[in-house]
Amino acid sequence: MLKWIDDHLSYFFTLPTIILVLAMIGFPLAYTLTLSFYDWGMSNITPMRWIGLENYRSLLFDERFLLAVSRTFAFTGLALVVELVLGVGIALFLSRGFAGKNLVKTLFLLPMVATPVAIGLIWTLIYEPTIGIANFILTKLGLQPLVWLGSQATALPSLVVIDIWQWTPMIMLITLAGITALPAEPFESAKVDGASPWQILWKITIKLLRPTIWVAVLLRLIDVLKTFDIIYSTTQGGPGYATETMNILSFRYAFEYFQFGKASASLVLFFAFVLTIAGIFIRLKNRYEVEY
Amino acid sequence: MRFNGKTAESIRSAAFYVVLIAILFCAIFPFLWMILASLKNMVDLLNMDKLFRFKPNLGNYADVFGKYQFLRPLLNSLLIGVVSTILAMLFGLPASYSIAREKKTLYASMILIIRIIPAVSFLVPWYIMFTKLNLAGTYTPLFLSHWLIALPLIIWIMIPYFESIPRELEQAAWVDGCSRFGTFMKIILPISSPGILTAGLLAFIFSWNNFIFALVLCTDKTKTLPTAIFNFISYTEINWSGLMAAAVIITAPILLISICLQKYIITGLTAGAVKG
Amino acid sequence: MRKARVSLSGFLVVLLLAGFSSALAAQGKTKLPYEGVTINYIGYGGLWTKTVIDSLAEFKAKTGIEVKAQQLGNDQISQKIAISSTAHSGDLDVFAFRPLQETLLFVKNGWLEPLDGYIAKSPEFDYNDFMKSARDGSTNGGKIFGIPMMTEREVVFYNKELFAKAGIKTMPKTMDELMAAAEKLNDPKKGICGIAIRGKGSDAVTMFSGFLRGFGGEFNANGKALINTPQAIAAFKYYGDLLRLYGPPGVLNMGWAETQALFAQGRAAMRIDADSQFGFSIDPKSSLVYDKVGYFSLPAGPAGQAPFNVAAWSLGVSPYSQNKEAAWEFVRWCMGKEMDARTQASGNPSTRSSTWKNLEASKGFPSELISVINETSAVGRATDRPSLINVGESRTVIGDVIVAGILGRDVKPVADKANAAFQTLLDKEK
Repeated sequence: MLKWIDDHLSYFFTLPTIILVLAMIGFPLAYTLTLSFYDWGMSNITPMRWIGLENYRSLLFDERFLLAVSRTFAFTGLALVVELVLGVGIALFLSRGFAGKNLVKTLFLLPMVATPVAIGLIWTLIYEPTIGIANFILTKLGLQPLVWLGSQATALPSLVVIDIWQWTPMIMLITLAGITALPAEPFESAKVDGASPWQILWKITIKLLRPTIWVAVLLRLIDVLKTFDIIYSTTQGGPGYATETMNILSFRYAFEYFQFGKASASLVLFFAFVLTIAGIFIRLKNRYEVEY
Repeated sequence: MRFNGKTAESIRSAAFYVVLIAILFCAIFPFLWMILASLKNMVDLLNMDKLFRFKPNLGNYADVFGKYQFLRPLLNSLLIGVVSTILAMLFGLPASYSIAREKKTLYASMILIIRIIPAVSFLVPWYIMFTKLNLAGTYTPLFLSHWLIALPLIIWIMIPYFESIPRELEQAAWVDGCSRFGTFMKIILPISSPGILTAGLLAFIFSWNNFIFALVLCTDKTKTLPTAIFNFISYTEINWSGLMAAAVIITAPILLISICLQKYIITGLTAGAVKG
Repeated sequence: MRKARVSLSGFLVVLLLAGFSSALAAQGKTKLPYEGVTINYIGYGGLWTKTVIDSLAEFKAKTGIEVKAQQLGNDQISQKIAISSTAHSGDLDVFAFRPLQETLLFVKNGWLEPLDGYIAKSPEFDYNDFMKSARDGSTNGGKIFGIPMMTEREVVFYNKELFAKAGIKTMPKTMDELMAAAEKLNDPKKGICGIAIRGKGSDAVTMFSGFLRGFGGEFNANGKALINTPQAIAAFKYYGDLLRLYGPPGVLNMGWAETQALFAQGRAAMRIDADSQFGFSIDPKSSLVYDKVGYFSLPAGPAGQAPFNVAAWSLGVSPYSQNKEAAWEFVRWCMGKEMDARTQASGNPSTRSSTWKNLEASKGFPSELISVINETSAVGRATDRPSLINVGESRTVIGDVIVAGILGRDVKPVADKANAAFQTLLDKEK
């Protein structure tokens, strides 16, 4: 008996995990998918009503939903591009050996491990229009103070700044680890061939680092699309709808308006949206890596 | 005017450190601001002339533990973080070992799916599920939901780690008559301890930081720190220095762990991206 | 802080005594009627909740019931009730809800236990002592679903020192005078705004009601949405101008807590919100202007004065509670005449007529505020938001127009669009 178990150990090693994961996510997924076809206000008296694709139709024709989709895109795109450029830039900047490198890495680590809700609060105080340090600095520089999170024009960019502050270090640290792992030969032969430092940077360093950077960006991509804590603890989607992303909108449909059918449809669309983007991204990455 | 090589080098070096310090300052400034604000009383906080010159006091911290009762949530966060991490290890280590050895990419993609599902869609079904199982209001829903956060992290970090262990090692043990299970326990796990430490630390940090699951699944008794601080802003007057003291209390343990064990945490956060 | 510590240790002493006495009682003979029963309560964080929590040991000594009380933000309370009820979970016994926002929705969803039977069994509770307008809000289809806990009126708080400095001696009586005073008091260079009112779209709707009706408008009537009438447009414009020109920076993100903080820090010369929050402003622990606070009634618009005078919170029992009798016992105790006088004395404006006649209980209220309360009660409107089932979504829709007004956009097209969306919500409920 024991021998039999041991021979089939890989099942005993994987099945419990699979079963518990399915138990935890199977019911929620089925529940959400089913409810997305019903009209239901969480009532225990009024029964749910089958309405087919009506929830989806009304969402896809609702300006508020479409704006939330584009906002999710804008937030993600903006944050990712800046984090990528800054992260890779700082990593290259730090790639030379210097005294205190470990200390520097440690300090960069701090923003990304700190609790997002607390970070939201800290930045709310930084952005506070009259007692915040952000406007204090602006006015000392002779610039016009801003309202940051309190104005529709600046709220989303202000949140992007928080995300950049928190997560640029991740791209930076991954790239830095990638640089350390680079082979030496290509650089030596390039030097022998008389390549300029600029050429070495673009043609060799960046090229060799690309696979590493792809993974870093994929990880960030999924998480930025799903950003919730920071938005919910600062603006909760406001002012107006200025920072209402798909995640926040779904939450409001469910827990502010109790339109659970519609919220479920919105969540299904959101899930499909993230899955598609991640899928496209992985496809691109694979195609690129094959060419490479 | 021309510099000789040495002067140019030291100027370049000085410039490097100036830029470095500027970048570092941006990275840690919000934390300094948080600590500064947590030591001020309300009058000083409102006065921009007293930005750095004020009489520090610890009254806000006393308030956070006394008036706002943060001790219980602190212990809850600790308990939930530790238990969910251990549970996730129990399931995740054997699973990632099998995946690493047998290339079960299907399971690996399942793990990716867990990361993609929006957390909001779990909340109501879970509540219904745990109520039906008579577990609502206990710690179990929090252990299990945080388990689901920790598990993918552990698998994600451990697969490459196990893959890097040469197969000859376990084959030699099998030849010696050691069972597969025995090999895993006595040989694989001990040499993987740095990886396990990394995975465990990260799992704990992500559990500690999680907000949305506890927001819905906790009760007053099982409330975690992020939920406690969020409640704090939504029902009382906005007391900025008290809030910042609470923020210090939430972030300090994580920051201290990270400073002491930075090597492991960096490895964990960058795991999977860098091969080699 | 010191006061809090004293009351905390006092609480501990009471708790210890209660522990001893119940231990003695258990050893002796008299068994309490609900020995060993625990019920869960969730409510908002306010003076009412604080006072009741401080007195829970007494309740336990009397009945044996242990109450686990939890304080949460408004939205979170609704979330907990919704999720717990949807799961038919017995983990919630008594809760506070916002009758004007939620009675229709909760009744329709079956989340509230009818209380008529319990009230009939408790004659000393004297249900008819509660003000009629307050009772009506928690009643539906002839059944009683909640006991009103607190009344609220829309009033103006002002900073006496800043008024004196600006040389304003007579309080604004009309909307025009209010605008003029705000202009005079506004001093952005010093970080002081003329007036602070909620600017966060949906949160602002209740405060806006006093302006809307002052200009002769209404949210909806007879199933018709009315937020793009000329009167409503004028009100949106006025509210928007007032806050854009003389309001605090970042007003679009402000709810009551944020304007409260501004006022308490001396950074707002005037503030309009519910009178029930006066306690924060005059408490030296949380307010820098505690000795400079004055009050006056909401000024009149072209159609007269129209502040709200509503029952903001009610106490309800969950139909899924496993201990409904004990839950009612708790309601009967904390909403009874004795405790009501105590919560009123701590600064919670009561809904019982008898409590308001009790001079001892009203001692905690500044006399200036009491005369403003009396003035407001005389003209006050019984609702402060649209009446329909889906109040939440309608507030978001109306909030859009408020935001447009504050931003100085052309209000009319936004109001037309919002009116159509509001009408759709109303039609869905027909």
